[in-house]
Amino acid sequence: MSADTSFAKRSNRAAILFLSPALLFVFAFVAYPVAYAGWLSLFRWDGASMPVFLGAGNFVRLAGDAIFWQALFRNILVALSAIVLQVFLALAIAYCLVRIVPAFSRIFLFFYLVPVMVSEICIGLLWRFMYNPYFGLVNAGLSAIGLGGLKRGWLGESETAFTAVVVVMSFTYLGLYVLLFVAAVRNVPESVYEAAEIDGAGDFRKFFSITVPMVWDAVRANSLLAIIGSLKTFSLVFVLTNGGPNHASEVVSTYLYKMGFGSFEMGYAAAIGFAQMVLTALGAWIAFRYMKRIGAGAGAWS
Amino acid sequence: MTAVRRWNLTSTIVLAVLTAHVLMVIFPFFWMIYSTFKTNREFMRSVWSLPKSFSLDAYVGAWSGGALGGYAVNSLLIMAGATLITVVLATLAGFALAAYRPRWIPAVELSMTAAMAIPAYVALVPLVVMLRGAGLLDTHLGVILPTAAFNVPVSIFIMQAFFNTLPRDLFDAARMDGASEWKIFLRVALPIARPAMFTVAIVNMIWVWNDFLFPVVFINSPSRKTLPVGLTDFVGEHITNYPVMLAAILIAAIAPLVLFVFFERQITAALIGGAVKG
Amino acid sequence: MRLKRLLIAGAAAALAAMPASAGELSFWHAYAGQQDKVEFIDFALGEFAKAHPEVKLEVVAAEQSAYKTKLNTAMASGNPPDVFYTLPGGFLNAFVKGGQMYALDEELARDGWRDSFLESAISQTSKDGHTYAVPVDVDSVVFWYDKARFAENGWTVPKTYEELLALAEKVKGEGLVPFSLGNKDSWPATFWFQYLEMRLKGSGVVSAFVNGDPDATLGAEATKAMEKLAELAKQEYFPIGFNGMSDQEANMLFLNGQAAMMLNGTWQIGASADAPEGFELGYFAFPAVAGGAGDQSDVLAGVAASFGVSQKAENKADAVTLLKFLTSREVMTKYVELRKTMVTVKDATTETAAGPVLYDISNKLMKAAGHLDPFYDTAMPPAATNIYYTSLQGVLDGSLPPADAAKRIEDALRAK
Repeated sequence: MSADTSFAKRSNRAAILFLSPALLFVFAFVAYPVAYAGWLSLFRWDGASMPVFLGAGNFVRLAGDAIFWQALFRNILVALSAIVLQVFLALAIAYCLVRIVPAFSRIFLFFYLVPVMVSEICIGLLWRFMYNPYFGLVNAGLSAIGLGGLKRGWLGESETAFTAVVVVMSFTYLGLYVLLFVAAVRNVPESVYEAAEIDGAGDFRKFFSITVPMVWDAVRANSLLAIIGSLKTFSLVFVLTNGGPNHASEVVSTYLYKMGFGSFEMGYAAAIGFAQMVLTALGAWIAFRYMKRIGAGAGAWS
Repeated sequence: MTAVRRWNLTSTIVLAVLTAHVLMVIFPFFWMIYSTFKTNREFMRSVWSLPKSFSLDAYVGAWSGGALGGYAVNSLLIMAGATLITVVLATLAGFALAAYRPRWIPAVELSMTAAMAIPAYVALVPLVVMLRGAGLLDTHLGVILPTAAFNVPVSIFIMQAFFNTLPRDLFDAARMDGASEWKIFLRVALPIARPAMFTVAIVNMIWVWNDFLFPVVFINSPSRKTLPVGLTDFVGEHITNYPVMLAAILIAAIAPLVLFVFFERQITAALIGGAVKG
Repeated sequence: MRLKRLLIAGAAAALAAMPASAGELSFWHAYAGQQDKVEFIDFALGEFAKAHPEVKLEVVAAEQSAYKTKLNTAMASGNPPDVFYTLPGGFLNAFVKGGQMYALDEELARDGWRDSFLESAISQTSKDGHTYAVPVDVDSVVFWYDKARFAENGWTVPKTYEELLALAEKVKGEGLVPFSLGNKDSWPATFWFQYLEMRLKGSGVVSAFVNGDPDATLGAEATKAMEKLAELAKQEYFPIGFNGMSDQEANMLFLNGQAAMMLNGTWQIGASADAPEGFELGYFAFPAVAGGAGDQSDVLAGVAASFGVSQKAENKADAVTLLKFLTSREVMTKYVELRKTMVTVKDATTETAAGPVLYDISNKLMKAAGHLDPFYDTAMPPAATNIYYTSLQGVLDGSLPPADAAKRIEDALRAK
């Protein structure tokens, strides 16, 4: 009993010691911006004149702003797509690289990382050309495989613009997650697989019943990364569609940018940012905790 | 580590699928490379065609049009500084979050999640006010510190996820031997954490290298500009010389790729040397 | 005692004034991102350094869109540069409203500085009788076409809107796009709406709102203009997916002959520099719309950029010296020569510097115009501009009824 409390005390002290540098550092640069955004969100301000106090006015407006809620909904779709098309696809790829074609893993990993390192300006430019209805390769490809009827002005039509952007995001950021997972998958001890192989498990079963549970912590961390990244996503939307046509592919960050730096509504932009931060943090945290429970369950089952 | 696997049908199929996929993923890069050898007129005529002649004018234009070498040095300095700070702080904190569970830990996790979620555009004005007050506006440090601060929370979670995979007995055994917590971190956790630290380092390098917003707003002097900011020298609103722009982007992308090739070996070595046997 | 306090206060004031004392000046501009812009500013600042070695400039350059973020952040954080590049109209007015801009009235009145500018240009940087920035360049919008191609196909330049539509139908029949348009960034389609509104109702509609005219209205003509615009899109006279195409992609369609015409600004001259062999750039005015109440000779032309001085600048004398130098006829003629863009300074857009096409537009089309109507999207307050942009995209893709769009824009213009 006394040993337990002494360890609790000791671990409490150690935790404070190890955490405080990071916490103090982050706090120093984040606390003021957050407080500032919170304060500013109570005003109407164009960035040049005296701010006008509105109270909760900006948040009332936000609550009734259909564009904001649609944008937020799109951010959630981006996050879901990122978990499937980036995180889980990357895990499958990492498994293949490490377990099935290890001889090629290094070169493939390198190739997957290329788009992550090329400037988003270039990625955006390339995909604009890919999607171009006249000389783009997407439409040309559809014609070539006899699906010419599906040709569209991908980025320019309300129905397809957002999906087209999501596809580009999946291509672009996938490599980062492959990189993160390769390290985790390599860490799974060979002996566990050997035991499964004796039971006659194929790659499919080994992937789902060994790899996924064994690297679940990495899945959680990467999902969190993907969720946060998706909820803050800006550059590719900005370059590809600028949120258009008529807000059809608007996400919260592009809307915030347009309000703050385009429309000179700094107070309203701060309210958007504040709401975005609170909702993102809550959403991500809940997902993170929930996945912990799934992970615990999966771990017990394996 | 991994036993040599017998090559079979699955391997062939997987290899074929991955090759097709990877070709799609890296197509941008190929396109970029061969496009830089075209003239702008050729490029405007047909975006996809291969160059008719082999012109290096784009590289000459890109190199002389901006001070790319100087920008690269600035980018490297900022990348190194921010990554170093982030890796050190995130390793310490990630270890604490995984190794100890006092009751207030969830509060820390929640506040770190909130810190990750702050939209950068909202933080611009207050950060500029802060940096000016500290005399750090238009300095490398003025970009390094906020950049690191914004990347530390995510990095903590990556490190925490790694430390969570380590068996508890590893630390408990050291405790039984009477090691202090600091010693446990230094002697037990840190050596094993090398691959994870490299991963965090690489992820951060990529982010910092490509970051545009903080450098463009916090840096004024041309001599302190970073590469992504310098690249906008080639992106006009109405008139753009595409091959020159792509050549500049390519030059900017080469440095991190080289770094990656270098570090990939380090990671692999670290993994082989430090992997935990279950 | 009191004397001592006064002395301390005086010393403090002197110290506070120190950083930007005589001879030092911060200057922010957006002449980056394009060869021609960089060449111009290098020339201008090089010459300035020779003529005024006593003034030490701390120059900050950023590409247009990054520049706006930078400048807005500097403004909002209370530390704007001394002299800076700014868009005229709504962008500048937001700073004027906040008391951030130094009125240049006195300096302009001296030595005939004001008279060196075109009056139509300087009115776009003025508000309530005060001038807060000096205008630099002027862009005007016309239809562009390939003369060689028109001749080859026997197409003739349309004089009326009906003829324009007939020509579009003919072009479409050939399997080509009549009008190239890349409306991803929303400003390109504004030219269509504004010209139709100018022809139907007349010039000065948005300026009336901006100047606080109580009778200002877009009128029923705005709905009609929106309807015509929706009709053009419905007839597929614009490229497929135009709302997601960039201006540069639209330019490629035009230069490669996949599209026959393009309604665009005079920067099209520079953007056509890399046209294929045999391409011969020509222009024609936006045609007359039958029954329209506007002066059918009016031209859409506005100031694209200007320079202003911060109210907070310590060293206004040197700031004005810099502005005077930048807007001198010599520097401005060089501007025309390097950028193939018209300038606001009288007689600086010379034939040799401008080249034949630009000179023709400047000297014939614009001189003959009843009015020059500045760009709506620049003139409006920034918040209204955003609504204007999205409404137009909505009308063009059929998701927003023309009458609703006209009402949304009118409401945004009325909002204070």
